[in-house]
Amino acid sequence: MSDANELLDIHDAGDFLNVSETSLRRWTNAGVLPCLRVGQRRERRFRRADLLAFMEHQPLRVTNGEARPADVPSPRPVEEAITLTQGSHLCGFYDSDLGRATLAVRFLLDGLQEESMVYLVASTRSTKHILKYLKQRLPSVERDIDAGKLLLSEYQKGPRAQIKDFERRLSAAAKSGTQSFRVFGDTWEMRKKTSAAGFVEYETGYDQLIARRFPVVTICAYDVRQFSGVAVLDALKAHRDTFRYPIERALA
Amino acid sequence: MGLSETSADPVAAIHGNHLCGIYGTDAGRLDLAVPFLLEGLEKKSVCFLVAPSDVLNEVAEAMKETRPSLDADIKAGRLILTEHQKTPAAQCRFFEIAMKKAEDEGVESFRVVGDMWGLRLLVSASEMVELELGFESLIVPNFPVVALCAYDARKFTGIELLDALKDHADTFKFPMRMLAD
Repeated sequence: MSDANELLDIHDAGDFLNVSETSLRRWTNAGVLPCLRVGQRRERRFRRADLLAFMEHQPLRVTNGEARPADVPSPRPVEEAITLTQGSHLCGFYDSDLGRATLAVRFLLDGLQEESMVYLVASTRSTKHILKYLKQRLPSVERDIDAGKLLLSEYQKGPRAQIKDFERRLSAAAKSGTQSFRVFGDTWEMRKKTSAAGFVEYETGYDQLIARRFPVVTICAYDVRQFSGVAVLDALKAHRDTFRYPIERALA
Repeated sequence: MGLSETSADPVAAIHGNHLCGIYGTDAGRLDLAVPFLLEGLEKKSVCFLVAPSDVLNEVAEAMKETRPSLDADIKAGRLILTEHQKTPAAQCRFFEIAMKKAEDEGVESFRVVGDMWGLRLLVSASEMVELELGFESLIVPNFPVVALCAYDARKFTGIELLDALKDHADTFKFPMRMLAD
């Protein structure tokens, strides 16, 4: 009988799932299929148990003889928790409303589970859409809203007002004993209220006055359907914590 | 970043990295490519620069300011300057053949800078993704290479850059599932 912890290389893992090596690489890069990296070349190794779990949780359809995960109509499950350092100010990107909900639900749910106060800043429409999926994962979410564990808010009228609002709310919660926060902001809503330069100032102000002063983990989510390539570059530059290496190596 | 600030960092120490770089000016392109390639040459890696001819010249001239012996590096095959091949498959094949030959001659590591707009002029957005996946599956696992795919933010759309980021998980501190969807 096969050992569930046996490690398969990418070729054998592909045979096991009846998928191509390219598919495995895409899924591991996307974080939906766990793998280990070994050796100087950081080659992928797959635990048989992870492959089985992946297969069981992904309804499969078959195209051209290769099994592929079916299109998933709701945000994918939150996998193992990711350790985040308080003060991390990260940027995320999405290119569909479902993508926005997927990023938000994973992040907010992790925050609620770790008993952080969680703050969602987005338009009413986007908030409604995100909550629809959050409720699927956490039916008791209304109770969290009523208890003030999950705060929902639209952006204030401009960058300065928004930062003041964050300061006021986080300071009050910290005084009441809240020890950690998460903030998920749908940034296009703020961008609509200010110029490109004003928006960069907003990100810089948030970084200095909120992210570094409070025990908070933040994801600023960018809709790439709205932001240009140059704006994406500016966004990445404003979120150094996102990168594995010094950003001067990756952005210029 | 100044071009002289090329001190050792983790990028230099890890093989198998496939990184995404993004620049917003011509000077930014030099800031990414020049120190990365110079550092590779110092570490005795064989370095590839794949870009349109004007960019090849511009980068080589900037490198010469720090490394006057660059022409000798080019002549000896330590720095390979080349334009893009016409298809993703041909580009991957080019790297495979060149790296295999160099390994047979005793070369132990490689660096690649690809100026991706040069390729995008030749192929569609989806073929770009094909090249990135081909490089990730055929080159990165099989050769001790550190690659920097440099994207011009003035030319690529936000959606194309998101695709690029998704194909370069090595660049980020956290799993891509947390940062992009």
